[in-house]
Amino acid sequence: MKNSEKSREIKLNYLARVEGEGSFYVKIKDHEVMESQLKIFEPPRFFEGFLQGRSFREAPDITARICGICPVAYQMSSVHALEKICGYQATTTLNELRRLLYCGEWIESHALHTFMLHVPDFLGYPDAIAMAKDHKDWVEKALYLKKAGNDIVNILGGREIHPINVKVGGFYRYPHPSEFKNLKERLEKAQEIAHDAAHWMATLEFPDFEFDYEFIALRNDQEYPMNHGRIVSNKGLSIEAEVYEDRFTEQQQPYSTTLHTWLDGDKTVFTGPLARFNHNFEQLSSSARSLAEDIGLVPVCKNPFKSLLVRMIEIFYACEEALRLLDQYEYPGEIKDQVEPKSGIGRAATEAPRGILFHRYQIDEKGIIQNARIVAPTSHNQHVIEEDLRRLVIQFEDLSDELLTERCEQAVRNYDPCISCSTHFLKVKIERE
Amino acid sequence: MNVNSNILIIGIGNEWCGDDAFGIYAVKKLQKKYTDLAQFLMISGDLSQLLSLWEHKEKVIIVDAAHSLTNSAGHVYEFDSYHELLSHESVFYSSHSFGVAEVLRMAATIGREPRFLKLIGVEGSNWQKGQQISEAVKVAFSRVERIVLHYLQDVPTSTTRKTYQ
Repeated sequence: MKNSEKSREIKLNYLARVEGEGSFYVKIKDHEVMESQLKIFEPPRFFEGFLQGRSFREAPDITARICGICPVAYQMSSVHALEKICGYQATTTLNELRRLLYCGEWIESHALHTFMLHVPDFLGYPDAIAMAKDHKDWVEKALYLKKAGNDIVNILGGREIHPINVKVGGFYRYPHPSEFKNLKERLEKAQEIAHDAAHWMATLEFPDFEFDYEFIALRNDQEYPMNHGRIVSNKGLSIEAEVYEDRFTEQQQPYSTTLHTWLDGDKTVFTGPLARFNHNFEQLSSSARSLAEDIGLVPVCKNPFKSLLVRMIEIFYACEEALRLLDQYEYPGEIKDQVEPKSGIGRAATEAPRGILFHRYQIDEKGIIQNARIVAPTSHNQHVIEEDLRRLVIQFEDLSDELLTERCEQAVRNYDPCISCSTHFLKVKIERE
Repeated sequence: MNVNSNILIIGIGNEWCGDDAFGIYAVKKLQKKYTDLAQFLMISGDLSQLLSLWEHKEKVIIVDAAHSLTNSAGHVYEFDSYHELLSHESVFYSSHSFGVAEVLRMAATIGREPRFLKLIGVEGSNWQKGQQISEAVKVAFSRVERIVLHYLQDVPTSTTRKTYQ
């Protein structure tokens, strides 16, 4: 780190608690940001290439391997896109089971991120292990919550990591209701923990930092979105996934191996829990809305640091929703139906824990994948993260280099970026001239 | 067939990153040879769930690749205690890579350590994406197998570290 009267350089060589490998660089001169770059240098992973020439039936299992924390999202976007091509209509039971599986993933992913990755920032701990010495009770509760999510994924997905029970057209095996027997009690307790945790987290100090973002999320008339909905924004966007590629484009940046996604060529978008919450508050259950209001969280929330609170609301809601879905689950028995392939192109977007995940596939009449395109939530958020950091270093310029660097890391974690999903960790360097 | 559910053998690694795959490779082989000896688990992602998965297990064995920069590929490390691992200063974790050392540190902090734990590490040399496990690392399997079988017969309680070359 170095400082002079007009220039300042802050360098952080390793930003922990984000996924993947990258760095951040910002150059400040005379109180203006001259450059800000989120540099991603993790090698590309070529999953779209792996998919070419494989059977469409393999897509849910191959794409699940892209991410160890949100495999369900990859499975869901792939099956929806492929079923559109084949003209397959999911039954109500299937749609509800897919929603239940998504609830499991939201619970486990959000529980890990909020308690283990993000809360230590707000409490001034270097990591969750240091935090656990003073807040053992909350860490225990976080593990309980996470286990509730894992249990759903385990029962319905076949195993906790990289589930294997999802197929185009449904599930390979439908669980008997008796398999869910112990889950209800765990989810009820998990919902209570999420309620208490939301109140606790609301007492944390949130930086005064707001911006007029273009929030993008799915929205539909029936439910808080997971698997279905139009892609909407607060600035006029309302499209089906079919025309996503007409509006969203990806561009290579010379300093990054991740493609940056833009709306209409040059518009920066914000996806993830905060965007979902702002667009779909009315679709939450009355108890989830009440909890949000009780902790002072109402739409439109423009402070990205409060994504922490939104994630707790979403955990609370996902527990409640999972309980509802379990209550009305009717065992369909063994289903041997198989979706038959048709040639064509299919597109779908679903709500991964980190935001919109878009998939597009082209398959031939035998179901062989000709090409595929996958746009992860972090690709959508790459540019808004860079812009937040630009704004942040100016707004908090009076902070010491050390504190400013910490604030920047915290801001990056607002987005829970999965750099490996988008290709792919973060070194932060702030240079002041 | 009755699987011994009191024992959990965990292989950790990334099958697509050269020698990092050793833990998965070794535990798959152990499972094939000794199916009912224990529960077997292969993990390539988030390890924080180990804190829950090893609850109520009598014995836990973890097999993982190691990177010391001091020993040659295929060198086998055997830890019967957390102490050396926990002495490491650095902590790096993410949604996906809450690593073995971090899980053990967290377990020790909140009192969730398994009663008996054996950690076996095998020194790797090639960590490139898309590469196979090195032959020098693969041959360490027989030593790993011997350590596992010996441990399951006679749970060591010493806190000494042994190395095999």
